[in-house]
Amino acid sequence: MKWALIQSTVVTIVMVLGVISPQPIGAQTPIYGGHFRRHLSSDPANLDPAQTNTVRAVSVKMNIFDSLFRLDPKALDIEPGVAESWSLSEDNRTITFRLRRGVKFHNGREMTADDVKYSIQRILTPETASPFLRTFDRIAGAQEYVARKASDVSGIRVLDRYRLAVTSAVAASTFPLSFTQLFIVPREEAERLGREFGQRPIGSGPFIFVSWHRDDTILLRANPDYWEGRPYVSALEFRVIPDPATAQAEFDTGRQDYMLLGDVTYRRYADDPAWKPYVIEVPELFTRHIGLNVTKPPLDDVRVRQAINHAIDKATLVRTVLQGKALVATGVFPPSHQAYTRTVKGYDYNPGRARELLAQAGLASGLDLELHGSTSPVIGRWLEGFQHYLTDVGVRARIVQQDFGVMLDRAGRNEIPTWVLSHGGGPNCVDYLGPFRSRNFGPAGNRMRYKNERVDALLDEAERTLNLRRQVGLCQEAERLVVADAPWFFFNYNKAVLVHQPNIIGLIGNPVEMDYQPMHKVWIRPRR
Amino acid sequence: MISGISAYVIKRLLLAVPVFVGVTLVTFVLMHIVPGDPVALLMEEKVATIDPAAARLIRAKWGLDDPLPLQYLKFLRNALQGDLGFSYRTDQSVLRSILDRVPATAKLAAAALAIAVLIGVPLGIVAALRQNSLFDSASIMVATIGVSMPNFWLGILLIYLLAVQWRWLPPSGYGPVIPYMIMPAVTLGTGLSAVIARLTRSAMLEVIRQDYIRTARAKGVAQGRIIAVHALRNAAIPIVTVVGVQLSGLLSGAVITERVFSWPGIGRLLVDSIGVRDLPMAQGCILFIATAFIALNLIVDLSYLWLDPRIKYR
Repeated sequence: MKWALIQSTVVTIVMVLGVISPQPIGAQTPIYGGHFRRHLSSDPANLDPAQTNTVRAVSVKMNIFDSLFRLDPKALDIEPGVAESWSLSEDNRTITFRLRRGVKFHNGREMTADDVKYSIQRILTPETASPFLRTFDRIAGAQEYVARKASDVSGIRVLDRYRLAVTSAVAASTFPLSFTQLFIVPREEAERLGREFGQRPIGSGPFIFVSWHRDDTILLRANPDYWEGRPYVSALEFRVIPDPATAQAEFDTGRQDYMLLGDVTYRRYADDPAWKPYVIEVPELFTRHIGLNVTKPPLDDVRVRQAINHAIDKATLVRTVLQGKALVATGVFPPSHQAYTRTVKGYDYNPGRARELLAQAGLASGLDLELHGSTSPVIGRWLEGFQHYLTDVGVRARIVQQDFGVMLDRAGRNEIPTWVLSHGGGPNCVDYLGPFRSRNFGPAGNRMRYKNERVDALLDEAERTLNLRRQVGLCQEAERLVVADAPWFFFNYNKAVLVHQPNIIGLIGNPVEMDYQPMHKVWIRPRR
Repeated sequence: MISGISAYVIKRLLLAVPVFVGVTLVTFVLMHIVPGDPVALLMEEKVATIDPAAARLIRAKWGLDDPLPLQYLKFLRNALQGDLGFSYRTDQSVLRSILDRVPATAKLAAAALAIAVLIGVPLGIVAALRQNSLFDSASIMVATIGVSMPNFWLGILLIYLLAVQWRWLPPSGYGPVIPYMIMPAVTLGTGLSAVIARLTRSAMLEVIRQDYIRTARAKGVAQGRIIAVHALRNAAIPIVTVVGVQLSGLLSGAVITERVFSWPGIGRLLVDSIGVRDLPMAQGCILFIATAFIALNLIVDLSYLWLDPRIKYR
């Protein structure tokens, strides 16, 4: 069955509440030129595609490198990148890619299928110690290559200069999606620069790396030979601005072309008629929650976990503490996810029902509970809100704020009963439900130590299913079970919001990550 | 034959060796006691799950599987050869990362100290000469306000007024010296100038009551010369000591000011590396800071010889 056919069967249940908000300015002829300035909250660790998967790094790297596939932010589905077409074998295990001709790296050399193979093998090389290992170690022969039992990955075959076949060891629905994360690197440059490649990257993307002053600025310039056409802006500058108040001052003085809005600043721009037309918002693919450790009494009792879900008035907290910059969570999947369904209703605010459930669990006299969160002031405000509502039903909650890394580590080691986190699992529903699979106990994601054999079986089946409609159905069934078992307190889905200068055209609302902007399609209208 | 001063300097440098070992050992132990796995922190950023196989490879690459004493000894051996290793987070040379940030840190420290001294010393002298006057009381009040103002608050206030409201200066960044450095230097220098003013006032008050000052006045020496040549030089030792300590502090980074003004200095580098348990980078930064402290303390001690020729080092 051809992958294209599978695509055609896709029922986009979506969902997206304004994935691409209309631009306030009507269609105009784009203008070339201008210096686009945006900011990052901290310096990316590294710009080597094999080394970092952080949002900050990817939002820079995606402008320097090309991937085989891209993720369409509207449909959350695969669209062509440097692979102009592809097909899937009868057994659903082999993808054959056909590369575009004439795609050139920034050093002038044409990209070939050998570069794609090298880029995958580079990630799988043990010395690279890539965090993307899992993404590609399902390729046939990859495990042997990683274990140094083979000098080549047998599942990657270069058919000719522009064609490449990659075979997965198992049929997995998430396999094609992996190639949206594969940035292609030129072998000779990666080998010549070695460790320095991450500091002076060379790719084939719409922008060419110029300079990087650590903790200060990253400067890129437009690639005039880009296969999709020269970008409109002539330069792209990323400034590292760690303090949100300073970033706002930079935006207000016109020195930044857009900025992401937080809870505190959201209303100021969204309610201001002067700025409102330039505010873009979208529900992100993130679910904020309290993880509930199901091995720690009394949280091992499902009624206690359900009581916590009923006890907290999410709608009021979202309206007040979060200033409306979120949507109340009803389950695991946010509204912009293709597996979201309105039929999962979640838990309503019902303190009477919460008390009833606690009484049934033998806790009519109440209970003590530690609420763990990071030291962020935002999290502090959430915790205080949770504490207020929990006290009302007899849960004596004690707030424990600590360094994020410490909290994560302790949660992974099964040391703490609760923790506040934001979970982002990407567009594939099986990946999104990863933290509920018993194979991912501990630091691998399932810190709740939640195990439901039916959920495991459903997700195993969903992983093998290539029919997207069926896969989504299986994920939704698993989600219903998870919601009923309540290993999380399902809090809210963040709305990602940005505000841009009035003369900037082409920015979109991307539910995967608002900072992932198609910069080669953005242009700057000269100020009058 | 080594002269007295040379012997003293050599002795001080030799004493620095156990300080370096102690500082690195304490940092190493603390970084391992504090919970938080650097591998998990590297990988966990809005990703669903951490891949145990990838985590194993990363741990092996960083040498985290070795016993702790062996890890420390390896660090010491490499550090003695001038190799501070590679950052876990950036995969970049630690030494290079630190050296890249030294100019920004040094410029900001020098500018802040210049502001502090240029404001603090004259203010302290005048307050001492007009003890118990309105000016004296006002200077005490200004100094108290200066010390009490948190840097982040003053920084944000300056940005709001000078950059957002009046558009006189850029809000933040590390660009051409004058426009970009004014606000961070003033933010840092204000608090320090208050400390220096108070110290100068008390030191001057002590000196101007001495007999030799009275004698100079009786002999008709001009007031300016009495202050500059006779009084200030004798009052300088405590001032220089404090300025030296404060300069050491500034070179170790002014984290809050650097963050508010997006200044790429050592302070941010250190705090960020501790946040992600980037041990090699944190060790490197702390070694740099220790070196700055030791060097500046030595310079301050040697400056006493010039300020007061009666002092002798053996």
